[in-house]
Amino acid sequence: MNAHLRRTFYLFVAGFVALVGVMAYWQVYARESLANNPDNSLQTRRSVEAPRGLILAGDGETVLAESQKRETERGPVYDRVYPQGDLYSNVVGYWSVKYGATGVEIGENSTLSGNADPATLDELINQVSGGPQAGNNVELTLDPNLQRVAYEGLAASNTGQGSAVAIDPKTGDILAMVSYPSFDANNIDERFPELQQDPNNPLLNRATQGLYAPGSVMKVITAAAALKSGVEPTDPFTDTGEYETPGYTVVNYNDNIYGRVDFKQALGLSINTIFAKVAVERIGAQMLYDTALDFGFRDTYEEFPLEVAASELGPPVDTWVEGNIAQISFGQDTVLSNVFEFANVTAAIANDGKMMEPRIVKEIRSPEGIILDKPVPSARADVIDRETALTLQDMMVGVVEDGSATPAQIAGVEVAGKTGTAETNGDPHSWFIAFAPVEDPKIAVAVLVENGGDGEKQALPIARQIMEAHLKSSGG
Amino acid sequence: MTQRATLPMILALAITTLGFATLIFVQEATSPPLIYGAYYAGTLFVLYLAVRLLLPHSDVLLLPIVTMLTGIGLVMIFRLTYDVPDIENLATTQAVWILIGSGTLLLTVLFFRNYRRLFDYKYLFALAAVVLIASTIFFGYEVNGAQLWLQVGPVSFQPSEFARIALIIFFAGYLAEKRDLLAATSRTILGIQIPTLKYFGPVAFVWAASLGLLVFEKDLGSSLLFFAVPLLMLYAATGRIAYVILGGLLFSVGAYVSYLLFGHVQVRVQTWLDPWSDPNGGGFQILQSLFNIAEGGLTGTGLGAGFAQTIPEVQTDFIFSAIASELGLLGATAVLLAFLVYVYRGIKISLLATDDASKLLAFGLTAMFALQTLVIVGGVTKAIPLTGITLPFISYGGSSVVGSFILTGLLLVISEKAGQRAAGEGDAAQCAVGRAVVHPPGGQRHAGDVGEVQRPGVADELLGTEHLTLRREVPVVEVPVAGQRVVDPVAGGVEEHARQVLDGERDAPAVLGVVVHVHRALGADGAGRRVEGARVEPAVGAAVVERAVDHETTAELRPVQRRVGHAQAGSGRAVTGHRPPHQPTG
Repeated sequence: MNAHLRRTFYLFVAGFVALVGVMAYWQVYARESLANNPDNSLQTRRSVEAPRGLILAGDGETVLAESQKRETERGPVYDRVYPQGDLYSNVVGYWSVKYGATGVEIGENSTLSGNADPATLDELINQVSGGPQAGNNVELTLDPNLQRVAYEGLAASNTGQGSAVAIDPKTGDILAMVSYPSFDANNIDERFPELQQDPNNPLLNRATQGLYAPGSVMKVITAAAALKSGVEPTDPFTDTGEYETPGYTVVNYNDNIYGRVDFKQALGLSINTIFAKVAVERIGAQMLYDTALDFGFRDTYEEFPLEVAASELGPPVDTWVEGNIAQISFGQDTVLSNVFEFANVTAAIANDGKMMEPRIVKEIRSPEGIILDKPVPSARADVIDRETALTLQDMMVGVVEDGSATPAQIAGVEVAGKTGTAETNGDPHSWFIAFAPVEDPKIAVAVLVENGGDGEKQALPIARQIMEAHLKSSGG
Repeated sequence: MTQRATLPMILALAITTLGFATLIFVQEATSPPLIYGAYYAGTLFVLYLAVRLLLPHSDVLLLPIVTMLTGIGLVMIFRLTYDVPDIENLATTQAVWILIGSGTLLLTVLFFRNYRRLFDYKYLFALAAVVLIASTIFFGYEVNGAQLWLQVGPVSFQPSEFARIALIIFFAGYLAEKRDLLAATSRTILGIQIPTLKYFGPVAFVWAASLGLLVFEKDLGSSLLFFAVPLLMLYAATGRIAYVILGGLLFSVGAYVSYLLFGHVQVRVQTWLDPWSDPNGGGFQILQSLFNIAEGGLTGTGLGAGFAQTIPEVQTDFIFSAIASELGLLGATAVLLAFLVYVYRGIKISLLATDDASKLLAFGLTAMFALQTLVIVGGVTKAIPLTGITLPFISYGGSSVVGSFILTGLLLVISEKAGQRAAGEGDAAQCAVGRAVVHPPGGQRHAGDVGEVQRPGVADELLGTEHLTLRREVPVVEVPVAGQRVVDPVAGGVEEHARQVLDGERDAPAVLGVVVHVHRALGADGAGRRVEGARVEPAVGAAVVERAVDHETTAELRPVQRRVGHAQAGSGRAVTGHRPPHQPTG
């Protein structure tokens, strides 16, 4: 009998060992993901007892979020305040004891709450002793000036709903990210229910989490695929105003007929029929699909601290028929994207085909100001080769110089861009993407005014203002 | 087995004191009524001294573990409830329960020292278990969706905590008696030996009882324990894995049917599989548990610095999550290790116990303790579906605490027996240990009369207990059929000889003329069945006192006996030790 007893004992031992394993899984391996789970309110409770780190703009001075001490009967507690009001809310997010957290507040939570892996001896001691730990400060890449320009631009747009992202093409730094309408994250606990009910959906970060038909800005991706497939900018085409595919007829915006043009002009004038023809007859479904994926479609940008909705191409590529390919080539049908994705696309073209990893955290400092982490720019992917990129840049310069986007010209600076007017059930979305200066790009922008109408009318002026503001301050 | 554990006792009490000191001085908790702390420390230390006095050979190391676990429980309960309105005095209540539990343990030790008498009433215990379970169905009231509670006067308690112990006593007695029958197999299916169906009665019994618990009382945890512990005991007794497989199948079928039929079972399973789908409803409790556990990390938030109060019912079923949160992986592992040490001591007591019933009792109690710990800790960590049972000694709850103290008391008395035996056997003059198997002297042999006397130990006599049992063996010339043994009180004759040998009143080889060695032989009966029971080797005119009961035990655990020149473990060969001139069988 003793052998049986012993065997059962080993079974129990195995059970206890397994339990320690399970504990280790939750407490070590899955710890951060659980801590940063939106349903987890413990972090926000913790923040009441210890100050969270500051969130600062790219100038290192503008405070976007800070913890303010308040004395109570049970000791000091800290309230989270947002001195900039609505301006940064969709990026910074909110931090609520009741409703969890969003934005950088949750994306960089481990840093802000001071329970990331200890970086200094003090932190280690504090962590081991269980004392309240002040969080570390997070400095963002956002330029307060550009952020304000973009915000005011969108606020002044005709529909008052839109988003804009500006990127430094060489580093991937997000210089501005605005979603309008925004909200005031102060006193979020009281205001949350009302904000959640708001039909304008101010809590949604449209720049990263909205998904919209991109319309003609998609043509830069199609053009890249076309160049890779051997199409030359000088290749001649004749537009008859229509392009027939089985079951679907492509027409141009406003039913224009352009006649004889080359491929560069087709991009400049945004001619749907020629892009449909090129996509169906020269590029093919797989190449178009692959190129879009190379540019970041269907990717959630896991490394990026904010939640990003993946841009969509619709059903699997092997089910595409000619009608799908034709419409996808100019950003209609099942294509969905946002300004974050297209700002990255534009930056990749501007940076000679090399897409940088987009980043919004510039550096992390301890409360005493010691730099704990300063991520260096890293390349995300070589999307297209340099030759193709230069050709595409030249085609996009054409769009601004004598195409659909001439109002985007800035005196003394060569600007490349592309308009988009995406058909929707209501008024079309107004899109504009651009970068400048072409020879040494310092900024790439993507702007969307929802249901704003023509791309050049609403989105373009905002993009231009952002670029001008940036070039003035950096080039000045 | 004799242990001294004064230093561990002091350490355990120091840990508790440190816990309270941390809460009061570092976390600035309001001080609990410290007099209760003094009562607690005093009671457990007195309990320790009393047990050492009353049961000098027992495995008293169990008590520091109990002290540490109850102490950690007290600290955590105080920490989790002192600032919560309506339940701020829960720690004091728990301290009172620990005092009551200690008293119960002392009573157990005093009255059930000769615990083997319990087995004589085993069917009464089975009945008691059934009555206790049934009582809640008819008279119980529901708390948190499970109908587990019974109100007797001012005290409400969970009868299932005590029913479990009663059931284990019944099973230990029953299985020790029916071991051989249950182990005998008649056929094989798919290479697995299937025991005779008619002996499946007890398996069916626990199956019905556990399903009854599941269906009527919505008590998944108790249901699981009620089923698994007897099954493990059955395995330990027979070594037949078939019982475990068949039992497991039965339970699976029962569990699946109840999953289909009962909403509360479905909810439990759904909550386990995907708590995220309803994070603020059904999944709230387990998710809060996981968030708090994760919050602890490697070293914990520090005692008093966590947020485990966000978990509903944290002071009972989820107290382990609070420990993991505030003491971290290291602290939680330490607590699990303390549980494992308890289980280890329990199994060791079982290994050293002198007879089958004691072994099975110690094993059953230990298995219940171990499974209870595994099931609730597994539940709060989402390793298995959550079942509402308590963490022994730590969780808040009177029935649970008192039940666990009774369990510990029983383990202590069993270890005392084994300890006495181990202590007695060193001395050849005190060889009144074990069993003598004799035939009548003078070559006269009555078919069927093989006397066998068991004497548990000299110490028993000192304590005034006489424990003699007789086994009447089957006719010596025939191969025995398992199960023909009878247990009688000793009445003289053959048995008297045996007793005298054991008592040293006679010189065994000279007086008792027959050597009979019986035991644990594997033979074959008339029907070709394997029999693990008695093989009798007749030899007229010689006698030998066999000094050990269980060969396995002898060979491995009591080397002092090897020099007696015993047969190989389990081989069933005749004893060759003090064998007088061998006379051929008439």
